[in-house]
Amino acid sequence: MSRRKITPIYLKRLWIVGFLLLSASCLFGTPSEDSFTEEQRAYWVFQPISQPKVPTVRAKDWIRNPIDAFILQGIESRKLTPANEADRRTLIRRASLDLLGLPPTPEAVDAFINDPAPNAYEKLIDQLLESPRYGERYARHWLDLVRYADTDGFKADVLRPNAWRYRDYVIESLNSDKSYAQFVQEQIAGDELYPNNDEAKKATGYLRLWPYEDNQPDMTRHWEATLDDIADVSGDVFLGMSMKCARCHDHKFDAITQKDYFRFRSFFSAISPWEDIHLGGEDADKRYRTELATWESMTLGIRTEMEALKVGPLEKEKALARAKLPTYMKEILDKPERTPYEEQLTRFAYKLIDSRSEIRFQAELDKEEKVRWAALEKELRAFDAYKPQREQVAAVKDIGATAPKSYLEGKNGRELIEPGYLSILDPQDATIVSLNNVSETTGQRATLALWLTDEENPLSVRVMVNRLWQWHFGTGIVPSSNDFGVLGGEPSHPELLDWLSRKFVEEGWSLKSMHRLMMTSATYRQSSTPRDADIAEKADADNRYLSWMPVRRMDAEQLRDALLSVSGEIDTTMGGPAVEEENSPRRSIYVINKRNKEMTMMNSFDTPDLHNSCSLRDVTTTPIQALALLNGDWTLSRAKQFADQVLSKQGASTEDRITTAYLTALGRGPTEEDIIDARNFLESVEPKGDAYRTAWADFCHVLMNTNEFVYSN
Amino acid sequence: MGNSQNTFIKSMAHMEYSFSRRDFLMRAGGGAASVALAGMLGFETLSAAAKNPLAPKAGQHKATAKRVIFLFMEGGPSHIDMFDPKPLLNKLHGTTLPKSFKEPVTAMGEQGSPLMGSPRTWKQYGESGLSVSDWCPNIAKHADELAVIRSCQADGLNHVGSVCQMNTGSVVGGRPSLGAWAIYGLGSLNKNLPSFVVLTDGKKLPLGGVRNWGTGFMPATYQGTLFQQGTVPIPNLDPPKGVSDTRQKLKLDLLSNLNRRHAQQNAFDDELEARIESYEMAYRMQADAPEAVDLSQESEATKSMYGLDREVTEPFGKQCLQARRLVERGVRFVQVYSGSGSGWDTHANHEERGQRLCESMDQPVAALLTDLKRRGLLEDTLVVWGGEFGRTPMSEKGNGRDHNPFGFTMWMAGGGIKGGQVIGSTDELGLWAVSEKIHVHDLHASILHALGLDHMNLEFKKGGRLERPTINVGHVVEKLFV
Repeated sequence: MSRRKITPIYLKRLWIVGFLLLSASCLFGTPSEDSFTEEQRAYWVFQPISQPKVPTVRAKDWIRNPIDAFILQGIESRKLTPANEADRRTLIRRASLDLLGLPPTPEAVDAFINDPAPNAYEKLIDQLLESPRYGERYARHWLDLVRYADTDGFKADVLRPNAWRYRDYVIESLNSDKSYAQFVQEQIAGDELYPNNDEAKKATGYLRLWPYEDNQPDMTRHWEATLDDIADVSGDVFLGMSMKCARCHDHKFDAITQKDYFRFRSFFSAISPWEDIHLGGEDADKRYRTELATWESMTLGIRTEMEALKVGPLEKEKALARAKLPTYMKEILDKPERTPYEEQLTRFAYKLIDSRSEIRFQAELDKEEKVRWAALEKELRAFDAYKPQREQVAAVKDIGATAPKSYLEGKNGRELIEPGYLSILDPQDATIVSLNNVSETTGQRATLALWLTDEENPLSVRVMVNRLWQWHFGTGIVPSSNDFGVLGGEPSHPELLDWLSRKFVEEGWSLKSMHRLMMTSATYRQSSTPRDADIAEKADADNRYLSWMPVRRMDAEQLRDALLSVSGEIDTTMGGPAVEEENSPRRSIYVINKRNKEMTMMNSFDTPDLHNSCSLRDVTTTPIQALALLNGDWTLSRAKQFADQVLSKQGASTEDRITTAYLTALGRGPTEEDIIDARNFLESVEPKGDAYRTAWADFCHVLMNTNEFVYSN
Repeated sequence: MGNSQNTFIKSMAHMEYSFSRRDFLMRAGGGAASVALAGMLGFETLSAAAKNPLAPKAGQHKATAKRVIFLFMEGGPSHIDMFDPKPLLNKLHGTTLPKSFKEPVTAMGEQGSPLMGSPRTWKQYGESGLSVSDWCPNIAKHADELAVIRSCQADGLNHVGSVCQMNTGSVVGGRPSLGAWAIYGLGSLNKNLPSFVVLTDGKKLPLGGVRNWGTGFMPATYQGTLFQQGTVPIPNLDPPKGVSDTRQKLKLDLLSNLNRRHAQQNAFDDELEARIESYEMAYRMQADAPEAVDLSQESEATKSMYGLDREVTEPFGKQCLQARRLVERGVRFVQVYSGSGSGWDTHANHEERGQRLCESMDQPVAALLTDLKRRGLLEDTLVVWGGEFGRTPMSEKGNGRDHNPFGFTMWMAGGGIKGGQVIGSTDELGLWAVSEKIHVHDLHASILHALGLDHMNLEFKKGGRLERPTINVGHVVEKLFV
């Protein structure tokens, strides 16, 4: 970083903050790095992860694994009783929606229900974890956290053509049960720690997920905001600490000083965006060059003419774009030698100049030239089949071996900042690791990545284990899973959190081991009906102690995938560029994530805003959702497909068909009342022709709108 | 949820209504008269029971306005041609900006362009003698209602960031819009329409789209609803083609049966009940939303007052008239875009385009003020007028004006505003705000203040951070209020 620009607003903010701090310091004492209060030092999050003993409980029979002992202790201490075990139909639907994001097929339900093995449920969980659909489901949780999007945001919301490679990397990493430590290392410092590794190259796409304004000429402001954004999100995701408050002032509640914020941010201070980091190693390179040479020789004439048309206008547009930069930036561009920071700004400026001029040069062509250009483009496209596509990712590299200097304009004046951790944990500057086999990079990010994946790190391990708990049980042990600070929620089961954290590390940071452990617990297998609702409501209305399993609404992706799955249309092709339209049959994880959102059916169901890290989806209930599901064409079309499937079975009775529809949509057969209702509805028309088909489509449509379909027990 | 149902049934029994709750809600959706009934009887009980986040809440202090109509001139109207006369500009026409004025970084990067005079004639209006140009002769007649703030400032240079800031406080997306904060703080005044509605005068969306009325990190419950043009204002409002009303009702009845049975087995979840209600509200909206925007119910005189009989005024006139109908029906926050999609962005041919834009807007806005006043609505409806920034006194491409977030004009009227006054000033050319500078955050703080909300006490906990609508800065412009 260089100088933080002090705008009037910023000053005003500092002033207000100063005032607040002054008043706060009278009450609590100021959290400066030298004088954390005793209370802050004693705060649980900063303590080493303990090695708790598994508690002894009365109802030992209930316990299936150590998790249950911790949970039962909480339940018993509140004079509650765990709920009964859910029936197998409920369990398979719950587990499938949870791990795969899809409802189970009637065949899968049947197989599970009739499996005589005593460990049928454990087998089911193993099977689900082996499904490639698992990665597609759990990747969504991760993408929410890192504010993944396929577009830049801002006015133009430009498509990021290679963003999907990061998305696929997440899916593949989860499916292969990559250790979480490696997963983190690859994303923060893949280029430094795993050089020449394609997975790692895709992973560093993490550092390119920030919103980008392609016509912002104020480079310092834009670049500083970008680094802020990376620091904020990384604090949320990996530390579970809301660093953002400390950007402008020492955190008023948590032990994070403003200096800590900039120490943390400095780990990223050397990066610069690169658009074309090649994949596939030397072989792919060689192949690409050979194929490219062929294509080039085939198209030489066309390209030469295009080049001649383009060169003048392009240079003119470049000059224009450059002229529009603020004076300080033009001066930097003119310098014969630049500091690393100036070099970063220069690369950032050329990103703008190049992309703008590449878009705009056509406007400079005269009428005839435009016609000729279009004709040539068409000719050129005829050779597209011969044009090799280079597999590449947009990611970052450090600007060089020397990091730009970081300064903080804070309460102590201008201060040089070196990378460092939260000073309450370690007040010294970080010792930057030296790297073998890699040059032209600072090692700053590698240093941070190794610290984050140190098994004694009291934050990152607990934070991830807590997220897993939240994904399975709806609420984390710490309910604010992106914020373990004082303003977040207190842990309901601090000892369990530590026990799980130790277990996680012991299991080699394996996510699948943790899924298995949590999902095979008696806690997870409980029914969603409390043993005694009145007592439960009085003693633990929010169900923090889990004496029953919470009912959960499907999120947007689960819902859309469930509709496609029930209608039999779902296309399980994996990976590749984002699908542009929601009405595609591909899984929702592959539908484009546009920062400039449109009001689509999925977005009405609380998709994240894609600018902030989202650790927990909102669950709103609005009439707009009801209208989308009830009146939207897309949903009705799925219902028609579903109905056609149900009707396609020759010779089946109405009752058989009703049963098939229930099994497919809800994973259970109809009750007698259900059958009566269904018959009344269907038999209002003659059992033939279009009217009958429509009645069936409407019936299936109603099933797809029920609470039972949209919620998981 | 079982409980909420019981509470409801008990309350109904107490009132000796024999019809079922569903019947009741269906009827409530039937017409305007029953809206009031629903509000009177059903709302409190239902909302309390289902923990309705839109339940009406008391403000933090006495409000001067119950509702807001925000007239957004998107693209940046030229304050120096409308509400902020600059005689020196005409004198210096054709010369470059004198050295004594700091040269700003302009959006289009033109440097050293000559100043461009404003060929307006200005008059003083009303008892207050407020200066308004010949581009706004109708609004001028309301001079004594207007508090004109001539010293507004914003942080963005480009449209998308600036429109975003005028709506959300930040040039970067991801924060809740001002309307969303208002609804979060105060809840909804009606149960059959969205409480925050956005209207546009064209097919284009304002730059940045949905985020301008979105909720960012807050639940979507509080977001604005963009009304579409035409008779069906909300997407999917009508049953799909080929599904008759009778069938739709049969489907809803079946759905209701299935949901009720499911609810009995899961009697412990509020959300399930809330979802049943959302279908009921959707059903009511089906009738009420089209009625709210149906201008055929207005008299010819009213329509003509808004300029619906003239091509140039019709699009924005319609939106203004709909805005009045919406606030009348209890919609709390209405945002109306003039020139949506950056229409006011006069980088070239400023004179010709500015004139036409003002003509399209002036009469409808004046009519809205008149109409609100004669219906007794103006006193508790805050009308806000302005764009994301103003325009420069320097020319661009010879006959245009560039963006000016350094000093520009917004005005407010109604809702407790002290009319007939000018607040703050720009320099002698209208380039920089020089006295009583009012930042976007200050405008937001003031609008919320009128609604009875204190911007520093209106908090939403995001992660571990208490977020506030003005990002912890800004102050209420006390002078605005009576």
